[in-house]
Amino acid sequence: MRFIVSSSQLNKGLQSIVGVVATSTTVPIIQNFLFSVSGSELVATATDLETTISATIPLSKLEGEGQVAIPHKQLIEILRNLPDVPVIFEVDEETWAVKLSAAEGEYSLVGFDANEFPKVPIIEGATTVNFKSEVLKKAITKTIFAVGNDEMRPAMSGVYIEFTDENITFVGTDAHKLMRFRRNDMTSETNASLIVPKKPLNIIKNNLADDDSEVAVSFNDTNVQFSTEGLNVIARLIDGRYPNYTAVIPNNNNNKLIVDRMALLMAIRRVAIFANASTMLIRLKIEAEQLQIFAEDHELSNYAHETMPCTYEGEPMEIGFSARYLLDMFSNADSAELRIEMSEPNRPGIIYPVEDANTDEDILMLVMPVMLKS
Amino acid sequence: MIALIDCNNFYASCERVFNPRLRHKAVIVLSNNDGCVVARSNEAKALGIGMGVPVFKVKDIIERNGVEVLSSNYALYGDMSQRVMQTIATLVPDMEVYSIDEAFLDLSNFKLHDVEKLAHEIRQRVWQWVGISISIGIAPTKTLAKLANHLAKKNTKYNGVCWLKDRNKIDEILQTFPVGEVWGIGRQMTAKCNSFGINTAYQLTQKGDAWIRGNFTIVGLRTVQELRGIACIELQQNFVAKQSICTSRSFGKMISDFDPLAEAVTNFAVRCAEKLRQQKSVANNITVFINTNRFRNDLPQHSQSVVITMPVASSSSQEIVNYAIKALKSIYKNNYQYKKAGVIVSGIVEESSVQTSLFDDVDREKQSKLMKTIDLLNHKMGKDTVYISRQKSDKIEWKNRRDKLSPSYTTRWDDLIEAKASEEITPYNRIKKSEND
Repeated sequence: MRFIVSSSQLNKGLQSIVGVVATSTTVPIIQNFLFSVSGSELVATATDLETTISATIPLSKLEGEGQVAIPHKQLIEILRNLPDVPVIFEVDEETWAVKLSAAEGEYSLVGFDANEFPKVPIIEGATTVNFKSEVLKKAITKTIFAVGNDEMRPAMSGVYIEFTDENITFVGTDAHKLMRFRRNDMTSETNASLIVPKKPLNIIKNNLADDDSEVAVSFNDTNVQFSTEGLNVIARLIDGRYPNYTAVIPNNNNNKLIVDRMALLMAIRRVAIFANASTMLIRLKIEAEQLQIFAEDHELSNYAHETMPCTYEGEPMEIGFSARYLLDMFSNADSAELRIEMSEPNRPGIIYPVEDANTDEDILMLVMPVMLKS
Repeated sequence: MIALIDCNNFYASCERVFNPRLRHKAVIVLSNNDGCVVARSNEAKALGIGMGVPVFKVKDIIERNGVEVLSSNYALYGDMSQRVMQTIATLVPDMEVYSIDEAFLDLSNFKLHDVEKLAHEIRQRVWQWVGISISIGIAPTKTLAKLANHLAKKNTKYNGVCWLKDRNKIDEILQTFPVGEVWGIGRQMTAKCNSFGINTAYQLTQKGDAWIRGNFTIVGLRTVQELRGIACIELQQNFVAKQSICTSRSFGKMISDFDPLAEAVTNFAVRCAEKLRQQKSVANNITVFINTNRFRNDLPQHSQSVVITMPVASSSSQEIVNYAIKALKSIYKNNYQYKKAGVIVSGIVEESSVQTSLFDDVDREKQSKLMKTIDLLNHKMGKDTVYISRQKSDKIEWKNRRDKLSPSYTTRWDDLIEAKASEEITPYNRIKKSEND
């Protein structure tokens, strides 16, 4: 097997899949890329046994089709240090020795029989929904940061995607904050829901373009596949029941606060410097037209207080939040103004972006308060 | 001016207060499971029994000299410590309780000519009120006060109070004081000092600040400044809540079954929860660890720990026990003989600022009331009057070996010493009787 490929194209393709390679594993073969060459294409595959990603890279020349597994580390390093030159790969199909020739150099490494590489899963009986690349990218970006890391609660360690005949909803939560991103212009013929782990979503998000190119999302009960031009991501779904998030989003929130997002974000950043480092507790004291933000740390005798204008409808109230969560939420929003709806100091605050009505998109952020006791 | 008060041979002294038979005898107190020597009376020290030595190594000395051996009785020592501290506070209220038997005092509000008299008064009062003898070191900084205390203990000429008054005297002492015995200088720093030819505390004080900082960081520089008489380490009078709490024990005998292990972990978790409630805080994380006996090479080894983050920070015994058992289940393996287990609670925050959770179905208010009631009952009626059923079983396999435990003279009604006065022997009655006659 012999083929020629551009070093920069190969490097770009491998960079998009290398993130899935597990740094430490008990299965040595998955420290390799699987190269499959046929026609005029090279399909490079990497897996951590949960997520499998393939990138398609055009070849300049191919003599003899076939497959080989090549150690990922050496290959990535050599490509990173090569100028944009054609690289000739020669594979001895008896010994799986791989020789690379590029520019003035020759590099040899030991490859492995492709049959040892785990089989790429095939999704049977899949349902497919097509997304625009920019929409899927936004849906993932808006929800993934709220996802938890707790191994004891695996269901919350992924993004929940709900397909209905009315809309498609993405949800991320760690039980302290929740992000819901909904597209009302997208529907699915079959009602379904899945929980997708963070790792494949991060990889797909980083490889999606901000354009309207098509991404096919296919899924069955156990796996999901994201296919876009040149990239294919297959991931095992998280098995478990997603918490009933709709039941905990309160409806009767009579206290409504409208504030400038950046002004509030900056004020919280300043005040939070003086908050207790472990709780990051800040208190919001809200009255008509005036929002006061307080932080204090008794141990260090730190104190901070800022006042800013706001529009407020409702009873004056005082509510505590973790500055960390509010900053996460506010920096992830795009709108100039935010509407924060609250009912009681022990009930969640619900944050909506205030912007020109985009009926296609519906974003809801929810943050749980910190209980304030005197 | 700072004073450091240190109780002399504290554990052994506590035992002697209620058991006069132990006076003027060699007494040693053993660690958990009666393993090592953790306290010695002066008589025991004179016999050459070292600190921290395993008891089996000094068995001959013990038998030959009739040394009194006791298991550690922390209920007694804790209570006696509180009495000592309370007594000191009647004379000097500005105090930092540094350990079970040590306290720093801020004497800056006292006139210099009163200081020595005050120190002797403190010694006298603690002896009279509690029955514990103490040594006092007085100096301009905490580090020097610690050094002064060391001298007060070692040299009888000080009569229990050593006051490092003037700079020349301090320098004179530092010139012979080994650098490794200075408070705040550990084994590594000592080795490094020695490698630079620095063997005494005085030699270290003569080095430049930049050199000290470069080699021993700001922490080392602080210690040196303190030796020079410049106070850098303040008295911590305010109560600082602990950032993590650990309760762990080595078992009296090795355990391989899950149930007794779970019973031990339940007890450790309950203690952690109680300590959290005492300091009015709650914890976010629970770590459970289990270890086999690493000295038993003939047995299969397994040591593992796991951390669980609770959905909502808590100090509830029930909740912490539930998560601790869940954690234990995830690391426990059959067919291993475990020697030690422990529970650590961390991510501690004040109970007044708890991050709520979206999917929390626990009635926190009710739970808090229940814990308050249990604490009140256990305080009034005795430890573990109300307990979690898993805390106690018929087979108490995991408990410490404490074969030579003294009674809890001050904390258990049943152990209270009864004093009986008979007509024949009381001097008062004798006088009365003779008057009547």
